[in-house]
Amino acid sequence: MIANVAAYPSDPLVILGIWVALFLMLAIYSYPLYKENPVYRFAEHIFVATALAIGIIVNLTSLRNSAWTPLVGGNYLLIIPIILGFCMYFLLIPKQRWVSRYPIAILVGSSLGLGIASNPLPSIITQVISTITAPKAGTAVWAWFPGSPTGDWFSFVFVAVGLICSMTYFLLTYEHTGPVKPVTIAGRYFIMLALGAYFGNTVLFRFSMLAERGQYILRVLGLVPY
Amino acid sequence: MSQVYKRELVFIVTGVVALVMMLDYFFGKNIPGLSGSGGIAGQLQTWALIIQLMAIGLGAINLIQVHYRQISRKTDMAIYSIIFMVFFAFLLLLGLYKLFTGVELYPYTWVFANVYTSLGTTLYAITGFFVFSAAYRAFRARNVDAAILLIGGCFVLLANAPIGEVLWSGFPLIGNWFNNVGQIPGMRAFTVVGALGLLAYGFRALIGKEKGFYSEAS
Repeated sequence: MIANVAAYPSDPLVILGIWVALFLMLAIYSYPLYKENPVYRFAEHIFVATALAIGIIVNLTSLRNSAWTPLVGGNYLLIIPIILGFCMYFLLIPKQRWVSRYPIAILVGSSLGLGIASNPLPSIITQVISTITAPKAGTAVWAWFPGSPTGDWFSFVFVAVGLICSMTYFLLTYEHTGPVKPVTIAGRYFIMLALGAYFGNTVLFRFSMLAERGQYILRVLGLVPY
Repeated sequence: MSQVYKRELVFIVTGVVALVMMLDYFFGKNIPGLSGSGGIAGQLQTWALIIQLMAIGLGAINLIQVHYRQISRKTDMAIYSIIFMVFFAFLLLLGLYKLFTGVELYPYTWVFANVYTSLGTTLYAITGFFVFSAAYRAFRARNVDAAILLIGGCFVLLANAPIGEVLWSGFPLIGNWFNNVGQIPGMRAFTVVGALGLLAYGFRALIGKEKGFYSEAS
């Protein structure tokens, strides 16, 4: 019936591993199910130590590949970012903290440059084009599964009106009074609808993760196939 | 004079780097020596990556300082700080051994698979508990706004949960409509407004009006 089911591990170290994982998992869940306790704190500190150590090793490996190996291979220009990387540590010395502003300037400059240049096309222009592109002639007035937001006339009008109202809600340079008021109220409703759907999806995703952890407990205990 | 290289020069560096990135994006192919991995823009991106990679040490030093303080002051949490220090040092040594010799020792793999991955998944899934209580608080129809939030959320939930279709065949239909069309105006507004905000913030930072990230630059 169940084809690709792995057998329960027989190696003692692997069995120890899955039971340690189970213990740590239950230790973490003791916090939301009971209250903060020593077992939870133990598991929490173990996780932070593990995450930090593995993070450092992963970063050092990347650093070796992207900086050290090319530098030794003759790309001597890479000595500059390495020195700038060390300059970050001047953050720890209050009087010399200004030195760290140079590596931060490189980081901020590159992120801002890329962000400012690459953001308008997908986040503004494409969104506006998608909104104002009307359905083709002969498209149905209404369809439950339009395939795209402009797949039927009702959806097209709904999205266009909704976007205008929602954008008006975010215009904060003047008071929302007079004829603008009902538009901003409608905008708030459209935003609430979007947030509701988003929250519904989030709840589902988190619960499916929680259910997976529940299945793990059953697998370790041998109540369902491993 | 000292203010020049402590403040003004920093802003100039930020501006020049940002300008190079923008020129690369828009005119990269037309300006020789700008694009590609060997070009100035590519080099600057590599520099930023290297700086980022090296900055993790700051977090490590900070954490070690915090735990060292706990241990030296013999607080109630000192025992956990000792556990942190011992486990961190042990795993770091195993990792460094792997880094320098290329040989991955079994304890490192074992900890990665059974402690790090398991705890990571568990901590990510722990939000399920908090989302449940948040859902209870959010999904109460106290006013029209909350009622709309409730309707959108419930239909999406019931559209995806198997019980929804069992209760009423319309739930998947309406829930999918909310997912495919209903949420588009609000989400699209977030995207556009967020992008406009980023542009405004970016230009303010470039002309030196935003200084928070330079620490004490203002």
